[in-house]
Amino acid sequence: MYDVIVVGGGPAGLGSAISAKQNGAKKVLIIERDNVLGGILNQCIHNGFGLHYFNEELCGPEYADRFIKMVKENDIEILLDTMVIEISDNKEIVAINNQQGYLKLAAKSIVLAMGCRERAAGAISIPGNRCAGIMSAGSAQYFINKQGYMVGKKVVILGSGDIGLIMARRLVLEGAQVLACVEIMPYSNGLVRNVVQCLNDFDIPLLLSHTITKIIGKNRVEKIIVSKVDENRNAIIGSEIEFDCDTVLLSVGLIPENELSKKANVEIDKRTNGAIVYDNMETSVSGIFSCGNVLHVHDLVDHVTLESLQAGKYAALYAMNQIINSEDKTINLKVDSNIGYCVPQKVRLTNLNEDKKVSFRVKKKFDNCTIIITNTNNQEIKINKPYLLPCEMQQVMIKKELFENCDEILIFIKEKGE
Amino acid sequence: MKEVICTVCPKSCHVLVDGDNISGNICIRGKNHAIAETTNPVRVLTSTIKTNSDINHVVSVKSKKALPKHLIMDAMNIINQTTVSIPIIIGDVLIDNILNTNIDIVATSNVYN
Repeated sequence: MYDVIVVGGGPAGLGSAISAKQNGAKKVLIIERDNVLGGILNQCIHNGFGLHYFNEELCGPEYADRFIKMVKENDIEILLDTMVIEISDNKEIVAINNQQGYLKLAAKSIVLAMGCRERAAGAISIPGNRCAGIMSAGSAQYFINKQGYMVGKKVVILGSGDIGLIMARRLVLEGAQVLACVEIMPYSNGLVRNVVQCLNDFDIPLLLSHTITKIIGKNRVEKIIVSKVDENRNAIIGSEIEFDCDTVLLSVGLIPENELSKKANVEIDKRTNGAIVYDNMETSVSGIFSCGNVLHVHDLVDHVTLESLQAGKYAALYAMNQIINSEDKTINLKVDSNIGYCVPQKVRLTNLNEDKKVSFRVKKKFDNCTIIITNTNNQEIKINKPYLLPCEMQQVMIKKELFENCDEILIFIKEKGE
Repeated sequence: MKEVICTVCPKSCHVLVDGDNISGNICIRGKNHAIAETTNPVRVLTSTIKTNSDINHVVSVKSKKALPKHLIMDAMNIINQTTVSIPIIIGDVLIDNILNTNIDIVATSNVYN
């Protein structure tokens, strides 16, 4: 019987396993479906990781390596090449691999750290031929950075998420021509830093309010049609632009991989597509915890790490029977219509012994605004911000006192002059 | 007159540089960034180098310090002509003093086999 089993060996899984061990769990296991630990960091060879956590700029594999070393030093068990196929709500894990076959593993507590997968071509129904040469930006990243294969010579990128922007630069460096980055929204979904350093540096046009309306090609992509869209995102007839290209990369969003969570009857938040969690990162199923991109999509791996340390700690405390789970005093955290979601969604007063960090994301850009956190007793915290952006997750510390003697907490944004 | 979009923080000020006259920035970091971008823009280069391994065909690398921006494609040319031997450990110098910049290209991942 394991104290803590962590599903997923990416940054969230590594962080939670280390934290579980350091907080007293004796037998900790990481189950990873790839043949190495580190998850998506291994193919993210660009730099900029670790600025918050290590105070230096690392490349993805370097960041992963620091945690893999800590996992090994902490005597944590690892199962590679192993796929978890089921988690039951009594915390029994069914996994398979080609060495041991069918495995049944029991744990006192489980951390879900499966991360995200990319939205693929099927999810956005691009009209036109179904020829070769259409792939997600992350697949292209794996081919180029891990396997050393080039994916195309003339490329158009659909969507302006950070992976798409980073791949635009990577493709140019490796000798391809990137004809355009096409974004349906009137603003970029990626960080401005990436737009500047990945597109502007290489004179790649960013076509805002545009989308691909047709892909033409027999065996391989030969040509695409891009059209301007109106405010309802409908293509404007007569605005078509043709691009002769052989490859289309999609960078159109991430989907948390919660199939296992659902099998374990974990309640899912429709806004994040991740689990609904309490302040200790515990899901609606007692003893099952969740953290990282499977919980909600993060922009920075440093934030994933910090969140996973919390999940690992509380999973260890649960395994050692040091958490009293009582639904008696549960406070719901609510957000107004300008905020997409917040994590955690609920706080339990029985275990609350410290201030709590709450993450949320605004739906639109704000300048000179105030984040207001208020409880049903009209106590409030105000935080002034020069700006808030949808592409930047916000984190606020809520004082323990604010949760006491109230039923609900509301987070909202007040614009200047309101 | 040149416009520089500041990338120091996500606020992304549009800074106007007109000789010694700098406007549009809200902090000193924006001013320094705009001066650097208009006089000597630099970037850390990250890429991959071919290995002699049958399993891991490439190893990820970075320039140890930021390279002048105009040398990036020349540096890529050298990187693409290089093959390195395994094993490779993070931090190993794979190309020494690239383009006489005194900057090394170092490994950012481990390749054992």
